[in-house]
Amino acid sequence: MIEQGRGRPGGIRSKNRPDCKLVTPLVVWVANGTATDAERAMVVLHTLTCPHCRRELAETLALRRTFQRWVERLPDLPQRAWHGFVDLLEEREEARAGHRAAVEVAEPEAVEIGSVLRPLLAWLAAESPSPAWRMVDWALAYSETQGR
Amino acid sequence: MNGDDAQLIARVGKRDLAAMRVLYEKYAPQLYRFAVARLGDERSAEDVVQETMLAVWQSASRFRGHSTATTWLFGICRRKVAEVYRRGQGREVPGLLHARSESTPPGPGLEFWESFSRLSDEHQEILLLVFYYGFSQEEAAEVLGVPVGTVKSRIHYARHRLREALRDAGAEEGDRKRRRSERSTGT
Repeated sequence: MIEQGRGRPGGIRSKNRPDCKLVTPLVVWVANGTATDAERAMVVLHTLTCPHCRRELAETLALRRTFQRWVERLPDLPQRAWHGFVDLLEEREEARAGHRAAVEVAEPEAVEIGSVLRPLLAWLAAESPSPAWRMVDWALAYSETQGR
Repeated sequence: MNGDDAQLIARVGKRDLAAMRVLYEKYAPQLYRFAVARLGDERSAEDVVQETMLAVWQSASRFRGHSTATTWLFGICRRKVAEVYRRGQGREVPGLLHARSESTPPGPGLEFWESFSRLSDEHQEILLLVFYYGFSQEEAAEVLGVPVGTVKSRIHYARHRLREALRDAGAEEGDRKRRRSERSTGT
């Protein structure tokens, strides 16, 4: 729908067109070639009659060309990069293998839980007047007679 | 996902160095340009590419093909670039492109570089992905790890900011030319 611009005979007041709101966000994706066929058709048809969106599309296409020219001028990955990668890979793999070996060597011996718990329980039993703790005291004494 | 890439990554996951080389030669040059554009430094960019490909080597066996190889690799690469920035090593001197402009064909140069480098990291990333690499909305969302809606709004604001920065750079350049001309005419 084309509205006549106020004060400009025959002019197009494109910013007020409701379909601009649908088309403007699609312009980027038309410019970078990833819009669907339906989206592209919608944008192209719209820009035939909307100078605002036509300018938006032209600017966006120009921006894309600028990016392409600019990034193309950046340096290329050096030829030696693959060999550098292989060296880095070997270095890291060796470091990982070395780390694994060091962890295995440094791993502490397992602590027998009884050696920690038994004195603690004995102390609690000695300090507590409760019959339940006296049962614990008895159990500890029994376990010692059994050599456990 | 491209079947060749899926097979390559599966072979890399089984520690096949020949497959790794094919993958490296296919993608490392693209990742390198992305990293140079983001960091402005060739050495740091090369380190980022090596770390990215190392991460690929170490995690290829866990790759399930939910994304394409391209979006997976770019996703890793952008995180490595972010790590460089976190360590405070990114874009200290925008001299690289200036130096190159002496020997390369005419094209957008220092002014464009300066305008681009004034943008936030998020805006730089999305502009590169969309306008140079030609990623779709969905692909950009995968690389950046954000919803498609965020991609749409981010590209809108990124373009707006770049336009502003280019306009400011143009105005500054105009001022410089005017001052030079005033000095040369002695007014």
